[in-house]
Amino acid sequence: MSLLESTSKFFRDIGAGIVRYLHLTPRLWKIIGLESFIFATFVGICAIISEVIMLLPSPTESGWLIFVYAALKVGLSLLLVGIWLIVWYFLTKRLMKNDGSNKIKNEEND
Amino acid sequence: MALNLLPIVIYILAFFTPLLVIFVGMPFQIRFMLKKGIFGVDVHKKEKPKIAEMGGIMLLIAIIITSILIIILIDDPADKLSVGIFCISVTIAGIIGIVDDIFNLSALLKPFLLLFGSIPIIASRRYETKPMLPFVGETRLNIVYFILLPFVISVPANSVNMLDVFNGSMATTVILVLITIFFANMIVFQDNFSNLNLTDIFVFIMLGTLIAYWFFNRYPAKTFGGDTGSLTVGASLGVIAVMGRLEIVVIIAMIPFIMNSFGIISSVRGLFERRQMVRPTKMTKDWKIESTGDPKAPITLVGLVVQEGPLDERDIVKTFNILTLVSGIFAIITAILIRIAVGVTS
Repeated sequence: MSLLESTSKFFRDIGAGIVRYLHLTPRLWKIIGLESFIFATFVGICAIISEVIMLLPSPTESGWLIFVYAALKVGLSLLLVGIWLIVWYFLTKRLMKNDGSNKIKNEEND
Repeated sequence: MALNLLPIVIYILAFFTPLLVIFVGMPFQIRFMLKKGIFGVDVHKKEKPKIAEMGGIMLLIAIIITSILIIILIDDPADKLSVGIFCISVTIAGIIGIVDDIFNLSALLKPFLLLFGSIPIIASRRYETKPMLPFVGETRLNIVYFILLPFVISVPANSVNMLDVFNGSMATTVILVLITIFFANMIVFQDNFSNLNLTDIFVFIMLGTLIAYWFFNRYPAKTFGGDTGSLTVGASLGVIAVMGRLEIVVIIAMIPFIMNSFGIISSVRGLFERRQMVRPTKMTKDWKIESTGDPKAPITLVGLVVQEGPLDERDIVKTFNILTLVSGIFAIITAILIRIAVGVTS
């Protein structure tokens, strides 16, 4: 195979690969949607932590009270992250449950 | 012995040394494993070929050799120690993988043993208890961070292990995660390659390792990495996340891996070994992969991907890559938001 032929085959292969990737992407819309939701909610939580939780007033006099307030802020933030993880977990579970129902539907149609 | 090499030379060596070691060593290892009868059957192929197992050993050897070379070549004692810690943590995970490949560890014992992989990081204090969040910037999580630190090897190592199910799937997806980490590091720490950056060294070592491994593990595979390979690679991601201070970026970049783990754990209600679970997929007459629909089978990312119809093994790996690419883009956005927040707060 000449250099020209092998170069042209290389680029044709890359082109075919990209086309295949583009062809496969639409069937992933549900999962990409879930990924987007997970990311968006995470960014939202960070915004809440930054603009609400971090701005809660803290005492300045007593040492132990400062610690309690700081711990409370961290606890609230962690609670939000915990809720985020639980929502992520259940959404994944829910989305994956559709697998079975879809299959039954497909079999009924057959 | 201070050679005072330019950072770019170190990066080139970090990339090409494992590449060379694997290209030279892997054919020998494949022949050796087949000769000794250490092989697995590729169930996704019509011919059911016998494939050499435990290819991950060569990955581990390549990482160890490269780490030692880098330790010899760099000047700063603190950097030498960090590269050493990276090597030791990854080696601990790799050795657990070897033991698992030989003796089949239980699904609970494996993550427990992997907790020991984080000991070198904790003991050497190669971590900052200030993870960076978008909008917030640097946080101070002294106690919480310390509680989570033991899981830093175990969780990513098991997540990568759970997604290493098809020819080339682990290599290509983790390569995408590493490329994301490389760009995120540039964005967050304004890395311009003028100074030696440890995260870049680790990323280049792993990229060289995985690109070479991909040539042997891509469809049709000549070797399987086994748990040795997947635990080694997963552990490296955990170490890079903590020592590179990119914990959140790595979590976002690994969304497909975490999603797959969530699905499996939630559906079988606990930790079980792959061999203990019902197979979630089966082959069609034209050798495509489809869901079995068995309610007892674990629900996996593959199950989600083949929801709309059976797919060829190569196409399933491509769908994993698409999902990792999307999460990589989100991770880059996260890095930009962190950079903005850190810039504002500093």
